[in-house]
Amino acid sequence: MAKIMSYSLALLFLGVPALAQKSEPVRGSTVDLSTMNIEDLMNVQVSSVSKKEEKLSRTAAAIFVITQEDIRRSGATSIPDALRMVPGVNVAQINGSTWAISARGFNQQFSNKLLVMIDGRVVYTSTFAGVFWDNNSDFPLEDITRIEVIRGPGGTIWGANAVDGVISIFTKNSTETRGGMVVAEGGNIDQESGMVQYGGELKAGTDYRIYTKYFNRANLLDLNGQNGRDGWHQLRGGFRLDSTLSSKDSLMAEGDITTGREGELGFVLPSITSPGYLAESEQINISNSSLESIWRHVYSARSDTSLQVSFDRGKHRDPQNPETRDTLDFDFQHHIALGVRQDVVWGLGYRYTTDLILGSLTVFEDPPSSTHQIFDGFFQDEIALVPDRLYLTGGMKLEHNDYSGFEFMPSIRLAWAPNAYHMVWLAVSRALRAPSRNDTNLVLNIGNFSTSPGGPPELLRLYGNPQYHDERLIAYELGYRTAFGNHLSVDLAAYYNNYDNLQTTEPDAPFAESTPAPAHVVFPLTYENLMHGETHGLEITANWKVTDRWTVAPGYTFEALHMHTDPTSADTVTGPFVEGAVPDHTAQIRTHFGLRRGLALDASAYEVSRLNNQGPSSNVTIPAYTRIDAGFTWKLWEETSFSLVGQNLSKDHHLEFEDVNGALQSSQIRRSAYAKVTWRF
Amino acid sequence: MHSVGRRPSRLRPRFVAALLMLLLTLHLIATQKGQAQVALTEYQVKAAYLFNFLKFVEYPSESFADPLAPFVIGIAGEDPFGSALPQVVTGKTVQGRDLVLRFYRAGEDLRGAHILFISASEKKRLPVILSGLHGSSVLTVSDMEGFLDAGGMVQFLNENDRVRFAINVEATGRARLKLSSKLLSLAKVVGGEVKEAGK
Repeated sequence: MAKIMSYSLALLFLGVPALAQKSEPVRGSTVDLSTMNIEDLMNVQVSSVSKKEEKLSRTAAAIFVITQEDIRRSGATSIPDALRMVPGVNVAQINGSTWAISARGFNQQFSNKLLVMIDGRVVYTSTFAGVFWDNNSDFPLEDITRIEVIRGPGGTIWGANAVDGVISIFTKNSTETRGGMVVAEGGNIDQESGMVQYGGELKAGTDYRIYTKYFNRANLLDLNGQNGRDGWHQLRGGFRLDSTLSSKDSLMAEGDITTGREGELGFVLPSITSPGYLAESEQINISNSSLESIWRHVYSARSDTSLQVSFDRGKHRDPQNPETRDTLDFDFQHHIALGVRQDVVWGLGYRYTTDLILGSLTVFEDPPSSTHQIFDGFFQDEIALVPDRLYLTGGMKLEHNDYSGFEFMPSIRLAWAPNAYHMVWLAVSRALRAPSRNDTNLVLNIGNFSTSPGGPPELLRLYGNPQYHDERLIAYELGYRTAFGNHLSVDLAAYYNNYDNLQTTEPDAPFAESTPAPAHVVFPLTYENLMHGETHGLEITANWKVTDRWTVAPGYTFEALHMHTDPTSADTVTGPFVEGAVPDHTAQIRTHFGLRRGLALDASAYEVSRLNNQGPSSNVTIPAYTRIDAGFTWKLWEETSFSLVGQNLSKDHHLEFEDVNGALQSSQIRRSAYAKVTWRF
Repeated sequence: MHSVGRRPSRLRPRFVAALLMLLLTLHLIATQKGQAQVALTEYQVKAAYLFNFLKFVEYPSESFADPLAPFVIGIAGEDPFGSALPQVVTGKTVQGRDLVLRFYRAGEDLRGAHILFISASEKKRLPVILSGLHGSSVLTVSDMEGFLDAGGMVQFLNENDRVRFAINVEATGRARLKLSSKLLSLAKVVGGEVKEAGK
């Protein structure tokens, strides 16, 4: 074995200079360009496309676009890690396979005010009104064309749960992934990992790609620095088909299956006499399959429609509350330009979701199975008050769900561009967070707090509330974008959010219960909507192209939350937890340096200030930390690149989050490094 | 640091070896393919486009002094092509006509060109240049942002490190240029209904 390795190493390094010499003479000049036809030219990947002067986005919202290039340069191995570069988005890793992700506050394992979509398909579990990142984020990063992140409400178009942000992940059209791709990766945390993909033209106008991907991640460290038993391996496969049916119709269909297994130190109540949870090593089997199709029809340059149908089956087999959920979604949209000044989008949607959540002594849902439907319709009009200068956008969404009935989510936005280099926008919107299964049906046994020896156990238990209301937000936003020539652009967003009907847990009258034995007294807590609060914050990003080869992108986020419980509330825990769950300050800087001969250096640093009032006893402080990632990429030639990436370089291990409402014990994130080779053919 | 890998550690060297073998294989394959490897710069591709566009445009007969008059490829402003454009056009003919390159300075009459590339250096003078060409049959090409909105005809676009193009068919129509349907089918077409050549 050792012989083979040294042999291949020797060949590897001998081969490189020989190759460099060979490829040198063909660079450009010897090719007869005049023999290339237009189709050839359209598909030539050029080595140095200069970024042209880009128009400032007219969007009257705090939008940040992560491009494929940004993902590649970040060295991120998962979508959650890639999201760290977006100011205003809170990303904290809890253990090997779990992240707390939110926008503009309210971060927790079960964050419930953020909407995530993949190619327009909502990935969302109504169990807690949020996202299982583990079975929805292991897409091949190479196939993502961009991730659009909007901080702030998007309820007017996307509906309930687009309260504090919307993350839209778009995968590449199959016409962009013709040919084969092999990715192999190995490291200390991201261990054996790889992907194989092939795509091509099925027939004229119809392209496809098919891929499979596997990764295996090592265990992190538990709170005592021991094995956190939270390793994770997952296998995914999928396809995408893009077809031009006629000059006016196009069809996209895609399907994905993923299956994996992850470890965690889950909180488990071993018996009703136990004083509290034990962290037990558990294995969770997860799987997800989805099928989606979008049919677009263009009537004219001024009018087009799209119809999207998707089905998703997700299984999250946590031993304490294994869940299976089926979701069927229909979505119709019509975009039409009215006159010369108005741009209208309207749409109708329907979602059907049904679940089965089995339980344990620790946690269960009552009833274990349920079915819900959502109907919605929306309308939005963008009016060019002064073309190219002043735009007013107004819209509203009406949504009906089985929990809280009709909901109304309007917004109004104004964008003003006095010239091509400055843009100011303002927005006021109302957004709602619809109740989830947990809010209404949860039964969670917390522990026996009896202090009298010999007396009956006194069991603290949390109940969902069937009368749980919508959580409401009215958001006031202000933004400014500017470009200084082609080299420097700055984007600023500030907000003041006013929330009402936020969640608290309130005590009710105790009662006696005989099963499960021994007989015990239950001290119930129930979810209520007895908290309100204000949040405000500022997000700044800049992109500075220092030279053609060197770019620097700094960012800064300030956020502050002030929670107040109603006079009738007895909850003193939730407010401080919510206020402390996001850092006051987050600063970051990313830089890319392109050297000669296909070599590039990338580095990023993130400074995250401390979190207060976290952890199971709710008084833990998570210290501030600095995360440093650095990578080195070598594009050997057009089809092959090799990269070496180090992550979390500043410290051997650090803690990012602990969740008082979470289901598991946190792990410490380890320093890591990996090597990766990408080959396209 | 603890050894906390999920897999027995004896698997790791095998994985590393496999990775190295893969790298080696890739090297060997790519060395074979290396010969055919072409790395083109943005302006080499754009130069080849200019040459190609001439094949798909039908000019009104008064654009040429005589049946053997050459095609004039003009550059207004700073020349971003370097040696790429001379390499493409030298010794070539299109529709039996020779190709001639002309570099125009500010203020010169541009109407003698058949295809005119307007360099980004001329951004501020663009309205002057375009209005000066009014009534002539010159195919204007540029990579300036907003070129088509300003009345230009063909604008290069950068999409995923590839050079594509958009055509303003209203402007080409005004200049009495007939573009082949093939060219239009490959372009992003803006400005009114598509009028194909020969119809």
